[in-house]
Amino acid sequence: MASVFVKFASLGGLALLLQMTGLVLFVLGFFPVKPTLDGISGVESFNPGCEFDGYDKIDKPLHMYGADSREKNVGFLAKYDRLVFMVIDGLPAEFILGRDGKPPARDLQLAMPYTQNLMATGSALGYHAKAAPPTVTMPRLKAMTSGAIAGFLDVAYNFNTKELLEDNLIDQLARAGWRMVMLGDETWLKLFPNRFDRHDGVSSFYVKDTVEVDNNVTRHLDVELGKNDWRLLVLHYLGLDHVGHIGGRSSPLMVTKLREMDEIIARIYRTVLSRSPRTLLVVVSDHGMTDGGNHGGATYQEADALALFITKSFSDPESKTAAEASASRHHSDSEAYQVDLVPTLALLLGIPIPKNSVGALLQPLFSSSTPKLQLRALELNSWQLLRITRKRSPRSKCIADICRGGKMASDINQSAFSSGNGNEAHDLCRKFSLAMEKHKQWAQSGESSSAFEEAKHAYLQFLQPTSVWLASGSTEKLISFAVSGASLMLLSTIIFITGVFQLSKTSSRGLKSGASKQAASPLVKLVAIGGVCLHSASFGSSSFVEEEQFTWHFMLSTFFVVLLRDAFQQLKPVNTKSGHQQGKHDNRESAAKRKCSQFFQSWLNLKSPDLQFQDPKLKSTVKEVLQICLLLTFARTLRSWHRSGVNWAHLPDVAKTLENTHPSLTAWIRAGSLLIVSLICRWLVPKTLPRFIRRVTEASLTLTAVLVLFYYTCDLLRLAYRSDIWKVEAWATISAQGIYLLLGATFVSTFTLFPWLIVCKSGTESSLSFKKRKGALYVMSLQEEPGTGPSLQAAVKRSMDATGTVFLSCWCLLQLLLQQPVNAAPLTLLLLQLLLTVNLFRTAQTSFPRWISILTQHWLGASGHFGLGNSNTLATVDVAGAYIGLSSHSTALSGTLAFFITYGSPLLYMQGLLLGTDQEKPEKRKDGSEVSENWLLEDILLPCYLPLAMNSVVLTVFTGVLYLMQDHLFVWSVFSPKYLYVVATTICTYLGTLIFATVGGYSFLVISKRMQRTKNAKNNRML
Amino acid sequence: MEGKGGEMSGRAKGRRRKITPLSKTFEERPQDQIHSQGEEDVDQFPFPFRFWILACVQLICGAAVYLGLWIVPYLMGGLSIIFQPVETLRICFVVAFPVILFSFSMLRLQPEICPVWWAAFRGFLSLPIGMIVASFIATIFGAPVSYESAVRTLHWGALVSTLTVVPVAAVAGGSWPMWHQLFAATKPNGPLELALCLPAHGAAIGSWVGAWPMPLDWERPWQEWPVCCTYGAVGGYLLTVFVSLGWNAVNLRQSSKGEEEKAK
Repeated sequence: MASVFVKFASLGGLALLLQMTGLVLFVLGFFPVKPTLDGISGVESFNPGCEFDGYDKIDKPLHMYGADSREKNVGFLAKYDRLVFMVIDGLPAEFILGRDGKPPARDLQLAMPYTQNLMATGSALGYHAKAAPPTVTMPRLKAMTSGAIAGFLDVAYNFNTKELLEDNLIDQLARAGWRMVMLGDETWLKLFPNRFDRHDGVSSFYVKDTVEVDNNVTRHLDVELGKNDWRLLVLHYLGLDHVGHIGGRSSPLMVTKLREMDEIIARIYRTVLSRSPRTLLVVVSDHGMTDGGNHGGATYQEADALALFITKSFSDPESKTAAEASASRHHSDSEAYQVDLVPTLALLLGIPIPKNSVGALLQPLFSSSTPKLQLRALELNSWQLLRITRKRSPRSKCIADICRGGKMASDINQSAFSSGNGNEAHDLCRKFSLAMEKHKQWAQSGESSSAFEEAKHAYLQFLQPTSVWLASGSTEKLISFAVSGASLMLLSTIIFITGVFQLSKTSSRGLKSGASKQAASPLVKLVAIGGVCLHSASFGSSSFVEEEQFTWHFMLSTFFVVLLRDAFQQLKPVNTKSGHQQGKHDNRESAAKRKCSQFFQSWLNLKSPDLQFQDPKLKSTVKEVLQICLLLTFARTLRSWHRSGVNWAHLPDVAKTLENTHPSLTAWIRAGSLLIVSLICRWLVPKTLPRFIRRVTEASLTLTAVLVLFYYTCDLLRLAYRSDIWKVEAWATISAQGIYLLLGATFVSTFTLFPWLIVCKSGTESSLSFKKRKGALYVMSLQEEPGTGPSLQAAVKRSMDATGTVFLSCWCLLQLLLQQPVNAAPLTLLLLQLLLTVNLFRTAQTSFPRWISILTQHWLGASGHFGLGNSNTLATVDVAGAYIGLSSHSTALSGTLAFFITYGSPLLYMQGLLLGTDQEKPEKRKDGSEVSENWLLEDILLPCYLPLAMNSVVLTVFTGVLYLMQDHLFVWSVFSPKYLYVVATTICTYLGTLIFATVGGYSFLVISKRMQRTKNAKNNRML
Repeated sequence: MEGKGGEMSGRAKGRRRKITPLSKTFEERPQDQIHSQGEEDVDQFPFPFRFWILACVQLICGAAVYLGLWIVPYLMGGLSIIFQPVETLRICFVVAFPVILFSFSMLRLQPEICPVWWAAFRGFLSLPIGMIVASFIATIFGAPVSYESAVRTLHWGALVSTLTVVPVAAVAGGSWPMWHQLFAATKPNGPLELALCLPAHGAAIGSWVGAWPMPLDWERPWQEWPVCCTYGAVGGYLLTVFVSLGWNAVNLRQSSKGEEEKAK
């Protein structure tokens, strides 16, 4: 057929293949999965050795051993029997410990007199416990209990697991038979369901509330502190975080809140701690806050969390040294990592260290124990870290040697020289064996204190760097894979971009021949291309990655404002020379009169002789301007619906206000949106179909809408009664499944049948006469000479259009089912925006090249993605919606649904590409079955090429950015999650392009076949 | 004088830019040859002085905006745009608006039929319209909509419309061809139109550019909503005032050279 078409198509396919290969290579090379150890630490972890990976058998619980036999078996003794774990959400360690050797501000010191006193007397030992990003509560609690800092892809894999399944302190304590009580943030209950004997969860929902939320915790204190049945009491106070969110660090409420916290610490100390020296109070914060009271990032202020250990025994006379040590440390900067809490607490409480904990124990807390126990603790922690190190770099020869039977450090030193590289794992391993040796020497030297100091020092020399190395997540990257992948992607991008340029060149050449309208101004093209470039360039800054919605919305608004200018440009004043001259001559009759009229003209000349527009032009310009203004308003509404992003995400927006304060209004809006969308869907049902098919389509769409309404009702009932009356849950699932079935059937039958059913005869054509429908979108009646049907080209276009509209309707109804209730209105806006854009480009006075309209739709889709509440952090993926209508757990299905929910908007606009935006062009071809190559290139290939090209620009640029930023502070918190989104967007673009290409190709084949058949029949008849 | 202007521009046609008299009415622009017969002399000043008048007006306006945004607020109790945006914007507006309004009213078109006070009045009328349109566009682009922010937006809109539409309204009134010429087609014709068009676009594009640092997480007070956009608008305005001055100056020299050659 058309050789150029085939050339371009195969080139595109090749580029696509290159890109896929490149992407896979890069991801494999850049994100090797952080290996973790499976299973749960048991008694075996108290033995030296490293063969405990995959040890799944639940061994004999630790508490089954008696205290003395435990020491015999385990060689270790718990220091404390009871623990009060008090979390003060968002408290910066600076408030209590000061910063850079300086004590905290005077008013903050005065606000916490008791705590400051405890620290001064040595009963309390405080640390700046640096928290890893993201500094938000849930991941921090996970880190504080499991000690693991998840690798990047692990976060992606586990995005929907709420419960903490990794080995952690709470589970270890539960296995040791501890009874536990939790009061405070309900996140704990989500992470550890059914672990606590008593609990009272409070919600951090109402950020404005700073008083009640803490009183709800404190009200139980009297009872709980009086009881003796619990061994772990978890208190999680949210008020301070709320104070920060409202007023920032220097809020006037802060001092009051700190005083309240101080009183609680005093109360716990007086009641529980003073009763027994074997009780430990740990006051921690999960993260700090910025001056403005926000958190989430990785700045010092946000990561500056507190770890404060309070016990009576520190101030015991026999442990004077410890007291002195801690007193001297007071206000000095004791830096630690938040994960250091885990091995410290585990060893203090005598339980195994959770398997994947990367913390190093805080040695000063053990300084009151016997040297033997201290070294034992260090040894346990060292072995535990060595096991992870071994898993992390399995090829290290040194670690393998140690595991095999413990070579001496001297041998290893030699082997290090032989291998002769600065491999970090090897370095750490050497430190480990050195520490082991020192430990042995201490035992042989008759436990002398100098040998003890040496051994301790050697252990710490191993522990701290190892902990940092493990926490930094540095796994060995496969640089060659990454680089070759990136270059393949670059190659494919170049191919795509050249392809797009070639395509638009050929199509514009074709356009010029029959162009009656003015071409789009170069400014529009400049803004379009400049927007793509600016957006790509903005990835260089982490803030612009975090707040990408601003970039999209800004570019989109700019683009529409430029279109607005373009529309005004059409409104050229027509200089009617003759009339003008005439007016002048007339006016000359009386100078005074002329002066008067000109005078008025000059300041308010709304009807000056200059201002004579061609009337239809004025009308259509006004229409165009109104449409663009409407589009702009919709875009702004979408933008304010969800704040999205990171830095301003906590501020109120429309969605939060609706959800929190007007739930009934939300339900009404949801139902109203459904009504509007279903009406639009009905109206959209293509008129180019036979009446019967139209009815069937309408019926199935209406039925789906009714089912969605039924689902909404079930949802409301479930929420209202909070119990499963009338088996609402089951009904909801059934209705959702019914919707899936209906939509799937509609989708498939639309795709397969429409090209066969589309009206191709001009006889029925004239009876339909869409042009009479005022303001209708479908101005697609084709003016042909009577007798012949529409050309093949027009028929294919019509079929694609019809398929596209039904696809859109199906997609919108599906999204209305899946999205959270508050997103129903933005969805409606998105649909309206799409239809308006299509209409705008169809009826615009300027003839925009096809690529402009495709680009606009792409931008609208991307902007809408954020308008539906998505962001570039993984936290906004709507997991709840991914289980709608699923009766059993299926990762594949719920993953697909989550993908559909997240990419609702881009996929909507990709399907919207099926609605061609070009205006009627009179067909001058005699043979209707011929297809102009230009059309094939412009309407079939370009909509496939351009989204792929734009996506591959983003993909390649961001791959480059990620590669350059691999040592950036935010690489794991900002750039990597965004990379995940970029990859998902790439898949979304592939999917959209696939839909478009399949529908286009299939319609083309079917209709050309039909045409051939009619032609043959005609010929036969003539014969 | 008009005739002379026409001749001159005819002569200058070969050069890069056509020079037209300062206050030539737009009716005769498309057809330079057709001249109204026997109309009284419109231009009140001989040619080389017109440039200097325009330059003075522009410089005075630029100085007023600069003073209004930085110096006067500072003198009035150390106000600054960063910490007291609304007050500072108001001061800047109060300082700049009358200066711009009256100085451009002096340059009005058709001064023989339009007295200064009318020009000033129509410029004054354009202010609320321009303010509302500017605020609407700012909101569309993402300015927050809370009450406090809306006040800021309106103040910003007042300043921006003072820089963009008020001079045009004062000079040309509600003449659609002029507005179309300046803002839709962006084809300024002659020094006056350039002096109207370029700074207006400078202010608009400046505030567009000024919005870019806002999402950065530097947490600086100047990243708040109207501050950096005001910087951008005023910066763009001042820059383009000088650019248009320079451009006009270059053209002036070229055209005077051409005249000299002709005289020789």
